[in-house]
Amino acid sequence: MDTNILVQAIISGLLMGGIYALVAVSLNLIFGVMKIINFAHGAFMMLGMYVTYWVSVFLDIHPYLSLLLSMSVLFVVGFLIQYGLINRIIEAPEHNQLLLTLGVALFLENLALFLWTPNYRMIKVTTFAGAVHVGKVMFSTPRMIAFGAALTMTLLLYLFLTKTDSGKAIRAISQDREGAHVIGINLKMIYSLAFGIGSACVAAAGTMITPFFYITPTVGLVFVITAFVIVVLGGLGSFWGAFFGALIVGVAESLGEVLLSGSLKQVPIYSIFILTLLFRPKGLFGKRHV
Amino acid sequence: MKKRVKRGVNRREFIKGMGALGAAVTFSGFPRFAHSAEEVKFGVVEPLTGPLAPLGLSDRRGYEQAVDEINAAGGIKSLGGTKLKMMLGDSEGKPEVGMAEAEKHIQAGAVAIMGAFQSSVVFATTQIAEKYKTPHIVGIGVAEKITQRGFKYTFRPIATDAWHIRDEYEYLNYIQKKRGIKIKTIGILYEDTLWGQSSAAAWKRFAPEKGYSIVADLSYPHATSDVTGVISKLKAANPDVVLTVAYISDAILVTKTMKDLDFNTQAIIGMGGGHQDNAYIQALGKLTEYVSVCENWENDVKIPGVKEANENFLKRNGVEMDCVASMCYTCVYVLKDALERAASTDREKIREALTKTHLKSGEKGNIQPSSIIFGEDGQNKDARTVIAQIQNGKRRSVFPEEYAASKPIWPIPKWKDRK
Repeated sequence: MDTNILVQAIISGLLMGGIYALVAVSLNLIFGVMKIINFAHGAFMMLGMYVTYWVSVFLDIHPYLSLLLSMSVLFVVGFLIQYGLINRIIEAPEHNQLLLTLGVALFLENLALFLWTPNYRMIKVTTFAGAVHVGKVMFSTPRMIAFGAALTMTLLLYLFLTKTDSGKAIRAISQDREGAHVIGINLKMIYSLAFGIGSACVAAAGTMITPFFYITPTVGLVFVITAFVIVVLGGLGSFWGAFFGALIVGVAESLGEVLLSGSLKQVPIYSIFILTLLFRPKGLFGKRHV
Repeated sequence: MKKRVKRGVNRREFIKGMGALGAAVTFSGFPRFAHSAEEVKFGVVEPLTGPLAPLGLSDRRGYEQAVDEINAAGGIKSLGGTKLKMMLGDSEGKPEVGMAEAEKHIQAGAVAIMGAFQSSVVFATTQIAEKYKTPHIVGIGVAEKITQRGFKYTFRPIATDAWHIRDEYEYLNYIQKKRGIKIKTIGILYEDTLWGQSSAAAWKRFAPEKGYSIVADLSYPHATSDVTGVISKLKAANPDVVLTVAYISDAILVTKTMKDLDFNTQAIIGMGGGHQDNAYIQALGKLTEYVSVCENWENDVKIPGVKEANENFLKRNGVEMDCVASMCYTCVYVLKDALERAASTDREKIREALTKTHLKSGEKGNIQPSSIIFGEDGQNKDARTVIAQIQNGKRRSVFPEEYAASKPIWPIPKWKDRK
């Protein structure tokens, strides 16, 4: 095996890991911290991508410029879904949440199919497109930018949860719901806020990948299963766990791609996952709480 | 969840129906279904709903256009101008639903079945047709095995999947001879579901006898998030030509990654699927330029009747005729030709007539790039494909030479030399 291919695999794996991190870090807030099994996460990402797509098509602007808009739209969508739907069953057993969020996902995906057809679309970008070649190794520009965004978002979410009152309230609820209620935290509001923030972050992930990834109603599925694995691998609730977990998964998959063939490329990810569950069930970076 | 469609009748409806029928028979004499040939019915089974619905719609338009043309021109002449009538059936893309639809058509008096787009569904519908001794003309469904089961009532005018691959090698031979370019090494790149794997097997089977060596055998999972690894391996192997099959999602990612990695080769030839989809060109624009695709038909092929059929299609539907519509269109004409010769609506006689079909390309509604002559197994012995290349944002037929509207651009310009 050519060493260039291996170096390339590690670099592109790290960059892909950055994209997984974007999805996983936002899922971590909802699934890791709030313990809501959110199957609609991929559908939210898809909606974010479509917001970016239509804004870029109609206003003819670079997809990155629609970042704030797609985040705001999805914040509202997430907030309302939590406020109006999930809050009603927050006390119910977990499988009820799972069914509800799965229902939301199916609804949103089919709505998108109905409104925008299953056609695969892409935004044609000319700036921040392409790739930089260093020697024989290729660095994709939009993926490097996505990597930077993942790092920034991880840091911001970490600071939000540890330094702000709202963040502390979210953590308080995740640790002890009744206790939090007793000291006067508005549960419904804080849950909705957290869910909205998580949805806004995954919309950001969607926006950041549009310069190099196709858009279709089921695109979320490509990333979300991996994101669930990453959140558990990194340790529920740990942001740096989700970030580094994503990098590990990215590199493992990429090395799998060049060393094995076809669908076997996913074998390293799931091997690492099973080993982690067996020997370190709380995850690589897992603590009891954030 | 889908709502369960109510089938059958309850007792009350049955009694009511029988009462009405009894009265009708008493007053009007027994209806003679078999001989009241005011129209000849045939049934189609296509994925009209579900993920393949856009393609099912295209199929339907192809059939409808042929039926309307035939009826407008005076119907089936040997049957005294009897009109053709198409019965629509929705397979929903599922074999078991397709079977039920085929059976329903046959019970309703269809003299033939057509369809069904997916090989998996065709396996099922041809079985029903065989059971009821009803001719089944396979419009689309390219799996080789469909016509290798010894069925007497299955007829397929189009090329099998393996013949697509045979024709890809023929194309390479043609380029070598015509352009004096040496082509030796092949890289194969495919998604690793059944489609990709059976294509890979055929590429490997034909390569030695056609004089090519496969230097890269690369696969990836369908709908994967990244293909940088496989494309960098492809680049390291540096094949003269890349032969590939891909669904559109993967085709988009692969093409983009080839550009990022600055992978250059003499030709990239896909087969149907994503590379044949207009959305592929729309999504990637200039990046798809010079990519070729092996397919059953293209709407610029120089065959008599294609231009008119395409113009009519555009007028009726607002879009140009595509490959799948053209094949369905031709299937109806194959049935028409058989009906004319059989001069009967008896399924057995129609089957007899079908076995003696001899339609030249460009003749009597056969707008495909080959004659239609069915072998013992029901497969059109002459069936062949066309190779189209994306030139100026549109697929142009470039091979075989006698039908091609454009000349192949070979080799593909390097990425850095493109505007």
